[in-house]
Amino acid sequence: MLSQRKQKTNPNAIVAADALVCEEATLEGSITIGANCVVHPKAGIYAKDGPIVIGQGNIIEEQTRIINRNPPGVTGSSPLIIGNCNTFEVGSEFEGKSLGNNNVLEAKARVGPNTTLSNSCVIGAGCHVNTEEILPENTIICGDNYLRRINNDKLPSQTPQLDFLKKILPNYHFLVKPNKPA
Amino acid sequence: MASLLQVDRVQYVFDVDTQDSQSLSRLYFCIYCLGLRSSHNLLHEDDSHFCPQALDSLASAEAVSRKNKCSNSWRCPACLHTLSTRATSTISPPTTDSNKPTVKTVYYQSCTFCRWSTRSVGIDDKEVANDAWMEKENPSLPRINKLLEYYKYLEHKEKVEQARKSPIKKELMSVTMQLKQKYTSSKHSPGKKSMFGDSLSGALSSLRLKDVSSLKDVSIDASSTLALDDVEKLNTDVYKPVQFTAMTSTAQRLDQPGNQIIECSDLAPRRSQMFMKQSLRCKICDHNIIKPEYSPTSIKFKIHLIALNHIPDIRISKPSTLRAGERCQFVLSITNPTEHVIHATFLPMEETKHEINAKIELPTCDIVVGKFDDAAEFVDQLTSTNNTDDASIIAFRRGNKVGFYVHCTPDPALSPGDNVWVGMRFKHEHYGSAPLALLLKGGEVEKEPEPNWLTHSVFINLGKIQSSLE
Repeated sequence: MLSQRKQKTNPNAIVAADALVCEEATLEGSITIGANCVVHPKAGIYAKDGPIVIGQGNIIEEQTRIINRNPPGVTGSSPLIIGNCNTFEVGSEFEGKSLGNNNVLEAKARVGPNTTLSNSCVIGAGCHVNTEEILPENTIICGDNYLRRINNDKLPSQTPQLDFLKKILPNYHFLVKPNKPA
Repeated sequence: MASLLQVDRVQYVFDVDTQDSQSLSRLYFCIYCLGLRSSHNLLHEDDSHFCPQALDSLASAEAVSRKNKCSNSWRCPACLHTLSTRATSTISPPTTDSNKPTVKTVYYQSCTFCRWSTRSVGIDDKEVANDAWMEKENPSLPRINKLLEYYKYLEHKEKVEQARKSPIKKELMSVTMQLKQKYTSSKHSPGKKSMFGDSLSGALSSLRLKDVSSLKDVSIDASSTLALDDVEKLNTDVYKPVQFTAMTSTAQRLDQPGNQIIECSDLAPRRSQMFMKQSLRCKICDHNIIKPEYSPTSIKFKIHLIALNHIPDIRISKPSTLRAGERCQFVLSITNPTEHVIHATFLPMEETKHEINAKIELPTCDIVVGKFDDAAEFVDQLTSTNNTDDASIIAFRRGNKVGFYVHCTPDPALSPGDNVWVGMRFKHEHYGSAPLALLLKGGEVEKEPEPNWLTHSVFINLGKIQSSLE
């Protein structure tokens, strides 16, 4: 089976030495993945109209799509910068302009190109957000009615989950070789 | 799937006098008086109250005294989801006894859905996992208690005065005293349930109390009123833009009607509501129709007499285009849920109050419907075709389901978009009830069950009239 494995490396993808990127993930265009990140198999990162820079300690789960695409009628290439310690749960989609730190996109959540997330925001499962705004820090959007609330408590740390994934994923998946000089 | 979505297309009449009808899937069947019953003409009884989260059950009286709330499970005030208790360890500063900082496990409640937690509103963490949580007290609780006390006093007073106006004869009194002794004595022996002990003893004790003067006088303050001039001036803060992420929604406020919280920072967890298990009883013969198992962990029924298990189900199998005044052909199906072969005979509808706007031509001969067989789906279906069937009547035959042709002519006066309703009656034999009823009563089963013949009136919504252009 090893010989049948497709060798498709993206020369424009820079993966930090400490990051864990599964080979079944799709990396398209100019992408930089920071240290301590975990990219699950079948996640997709598409830098179509500009580079994507992903910070440290992010978890990008299965079937997530992170896209840097210009809205219709806009040209030029602007980078999409994603901060540190964000979690993209299964099937979430991020097409926004930028993302701060410690945000959580729950399963099947979608952030459209008009929205920017600051820090520690949570987009609840199945919520589609595409309003022209920068979500204030600690905003939580959840439920059928997109109920908003400012969270006064800090979100639980993702470090245990990261450590677990870094231990378990290499046992079952081929990984993209880190190519960023340490 | 179609049957799930279109259960209301075929309606069975459950009340002969009023011609009320409902889908068979929503009806019950009383096997004792052999009639269809809807939930409206059955007696509803509370069996037990239970909490679906903590799965503990309570007797009705106890549930009332606990205001129908569960003591173990809590609900999120922000999204009305169930809260879960989380444990976390904290390091407390060194005390005088030991110089080392101690690690303690503390508990807080958090919502897995909206990430609300007791920490976010500043409620202190608890050192014990259970029972340490308190519900926010209703600010008008003292007033409510006062009013309750006052109305009890009024009730008491009225009773005493009534008793004085119509003095009870001595003999009658002695009878009631006997009754009281007979039925309320079990109150003193635990484990036995008193039949109507509480209400009777309450009434009797009030009868014995002959003196109004012995009652404790309760008075209440009238609710305060203000002159218009004394009303507080409107705060200018209301003109500021609303920070709606900090305000509660209507649903959140109405969830805790006692203290309608306005700001999100005041939200507090509330106890979750108990659910109820209900049994249904036939009003005519007093037998139980639905009786759930008492245990809250069980979703089974002790008695479960739903109509779908006893009465053949008629459904539209293959629709057709309906045009006003044009004769068209339909396929209806009849499914036999019982373990006996039945013969269904179709009869025309008699005078009815229900709107019927099409003529229906029904099969003139009996239709034999096979019995329900659990193993039928594993047997090859090809052999089941019956050669004796008249192909102009029977469309298909599959186990206990038979499809048959009917013809229908909608009234010429109907316009496109109108619903077409037809009515018919059908007669079938009904076995099984007598032995089942006997079994439930604890008797012996006879060898050859005698069939009863049941006749049902059915209304069918065949669909809408199509426009002639289509």
